[in-house]
Amino acid sequence: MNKMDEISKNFDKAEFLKKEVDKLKIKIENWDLENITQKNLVSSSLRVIKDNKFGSNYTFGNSERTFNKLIAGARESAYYGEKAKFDFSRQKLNKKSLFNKDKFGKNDGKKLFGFIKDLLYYIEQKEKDITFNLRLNKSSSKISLKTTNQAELFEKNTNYQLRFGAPVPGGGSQISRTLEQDAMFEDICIDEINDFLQDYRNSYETSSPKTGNMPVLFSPNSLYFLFVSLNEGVSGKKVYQNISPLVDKRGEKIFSEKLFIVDKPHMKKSSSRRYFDDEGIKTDRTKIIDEGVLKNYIYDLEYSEKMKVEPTGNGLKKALFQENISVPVTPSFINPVIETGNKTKKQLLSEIDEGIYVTNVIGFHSSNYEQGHFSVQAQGFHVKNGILQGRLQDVMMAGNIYNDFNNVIGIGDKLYPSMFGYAPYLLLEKISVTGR
Amino acid sequence: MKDYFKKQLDTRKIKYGDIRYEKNNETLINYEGRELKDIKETYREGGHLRLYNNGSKVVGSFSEAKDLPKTMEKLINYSKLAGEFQKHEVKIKKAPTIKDKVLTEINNDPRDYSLADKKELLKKYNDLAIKQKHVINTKFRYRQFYSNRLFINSEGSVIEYDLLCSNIVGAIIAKKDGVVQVKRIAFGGYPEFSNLIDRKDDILREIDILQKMLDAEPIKAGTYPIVINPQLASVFIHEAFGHLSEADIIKNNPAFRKKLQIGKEMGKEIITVIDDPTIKNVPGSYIYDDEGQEGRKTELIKKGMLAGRLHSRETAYSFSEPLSGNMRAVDTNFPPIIRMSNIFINKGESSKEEIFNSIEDGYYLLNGKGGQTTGDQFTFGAEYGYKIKNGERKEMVRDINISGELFETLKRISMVADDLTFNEVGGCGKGDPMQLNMFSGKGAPHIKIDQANLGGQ
Repeated sequence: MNKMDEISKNFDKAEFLKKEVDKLKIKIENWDLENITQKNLVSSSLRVIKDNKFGSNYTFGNSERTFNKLIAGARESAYYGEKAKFDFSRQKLNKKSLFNKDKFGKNDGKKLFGFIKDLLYYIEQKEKDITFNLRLNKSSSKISLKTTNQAELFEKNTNYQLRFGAPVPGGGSQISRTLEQDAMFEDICIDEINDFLQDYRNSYETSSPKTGNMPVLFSPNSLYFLFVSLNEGVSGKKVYQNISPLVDKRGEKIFSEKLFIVDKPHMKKSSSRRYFDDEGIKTDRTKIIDEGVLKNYIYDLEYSEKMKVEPTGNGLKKALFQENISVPVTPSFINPVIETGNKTKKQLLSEIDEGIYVTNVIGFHSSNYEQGHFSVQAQGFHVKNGILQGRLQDVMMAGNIYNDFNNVIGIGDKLYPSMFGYAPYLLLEKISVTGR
Repeated sequence: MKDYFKKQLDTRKIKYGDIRYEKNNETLINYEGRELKDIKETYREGGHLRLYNNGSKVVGSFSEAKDLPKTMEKLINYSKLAGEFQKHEVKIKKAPTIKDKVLTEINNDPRDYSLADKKELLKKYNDLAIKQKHVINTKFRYRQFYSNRLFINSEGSVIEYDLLCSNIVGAIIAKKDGVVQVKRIAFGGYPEFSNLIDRKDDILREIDILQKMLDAEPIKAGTYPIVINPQLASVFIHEAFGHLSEADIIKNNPAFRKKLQIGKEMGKEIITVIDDPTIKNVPGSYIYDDEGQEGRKTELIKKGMLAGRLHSRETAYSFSEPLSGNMRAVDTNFPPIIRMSNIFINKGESSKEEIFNSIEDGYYLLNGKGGQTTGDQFTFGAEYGYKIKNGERKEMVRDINISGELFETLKRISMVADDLTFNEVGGCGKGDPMQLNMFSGKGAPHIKIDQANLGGQ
């Protein structure tokens, strides 16, 4: 008997999600190989309705024993569970054909090492005294979802992610760059390396501004705190619970008219790309912010049902620091993107008389970020007349995204992966900074 | 299964290998507001293989025991490839061969209670919180984790051991005049389930503080002398110093290896920091780590001087320092990494009153709400605090973050109280991707920091 037949036999309705992941990670620390990590893992989740009550369970592994325990656990969960509040997907999708047939699909270890050797050689010629670290990931995933409502969805994805960096002189925080693609990198990304080295060379000295309001240039990497806060704001769940500061704000201007933010789940190079969410709802491009105006909230099945709207394909098994099969589904951006502007990083820096260029923020989750507050340590550089003066030390930055992102001066012309989503460089007119 | 794993290690020509196989049972119950969002008992199993071979380290996870030969084959091939690339051979410190079986023995086992009992207990607490004035939402979660582990290495060690805990954590969210504040609660069953029962009064006490937080003013950013309570001081020592005492964090960072040499002056004589997995009934207690080593007490800072650090066999070799038994894995998805067991600032000689009396104009800050470090830079939040004027506790403040540089901040600790207290619930995030370990304890007494950088609104 196949698994869906076995599931159908046990429950009135059910949804079976299976994820198979094959990962390879090569980690270089201080120019030498630290380790190689290989993962082949299967995980499954089962959500069920029995006697009109909802239950769920998950497991790792693919054996008969784990499958039987998955079913038994889901039955018990439904027995103690509450009344089912939504139905499962009825959609169909097969994205097998999108599986990347890149040239490094086979025998990849040798090719990946060859690429790393070239990259290390280039940097060594330019800056041999830094403590250089690198991590190259290859990840292939197969995701399938079936329901007793005849939904059947399947997708395969492959991604390569390169992150390189070095601790600042003295060994503290790290200056880094992240790049990702759906095929192996063709070259060693010389522009990005040179930009990284330029930042690194400016980090030998420390320099901090006086306390006050000042312009802040955010690197793409640092803007993840904006995405996380905004995710909470537009979450259909938080809107339904009346916790979001964006309740009843759809159609209103909440950010600068220069800001356009779109959830782009199909962005080819993004490692987060998905064609259906963890509930079997097809994903689609969703405008979140258009000329600063809030356009849409995001929903999973449960909260779309509660709010009597269509699901947006944003039901993910994701929490703040976790994304895996064990996490309950919640409305979440898949790949939020701040649309590019028309200025280079250099042009944006040149517009700062005195301010800071922030490469990373530390401790944003200690603030009340659900309400848009941030009170973080700013890592980056002090800028005067467009020139980097040295790296920041003991500098904090505080505010609220719904106030501070109303004053955007300029937006970079190129997109980079942030820790969550994609963003260009972004220059804000003023933020409260605690410095000297 | 032991024989099967042993055979896999013995029949391959590998320099060193170990296998950890886990059978994990987890119970999760979640309430959000008045809704039961999740209730389940899960089971999962899988294994992790580590090889030190051809001078390199290669590691891999597998879903089922039958997948081990395939994973072994892949890793051996990667180690051959890596060997050509590796500049310096990766070596591990010699360690004793151990054959043992140690299973948890407790009086009040959470596994003896039904899912219905646990649901009822959590519902009672949730219902109590949700009906209080200004409370707009609650999140209450019961989590119970039991992991049965088998460790086998190519040197002959065979250890069967387990981990067990239950805990209740909650967040109570209140709103008044547009101000939203969150109060966290945490009850820990490490390992006794009885610790989670009869906690209504604790919840009401926390809600009383929450009501006051709604009327408090945001703290004014700036630099002040501060007193921090044991809960927050333990987060500070864990986040800011503890992670730097994990040798894998600094192993390949020459600047930090130089900065953190044993014997370096880290602070005043009053500071002693210890990591100790042998303390009973706190979150990070264990006999063996996930590298087959006995967990040991390690003095990290002794009377202000750096005295030791936390190690794997690999870093102990690299630093030529003693083994400490701190390699821990959250589950089979991940290799073990060096993690604190129970880290704490040892008790000092001052009373809390003496510390307060030493401050003319400063703050008393309480309870951590998350923290983050990169290198020697740290930021962490405090749930709430009070102004201190001439030694007296005054009005409440909220929205507090503290940031700074570790080495300077440690030197600014000028008083340590005699009231060492451990947090009930453990937790630590580390790794890439982030791995949350619930078996990590922390403790501290009240401490005074002469000058701290506070961020507010």
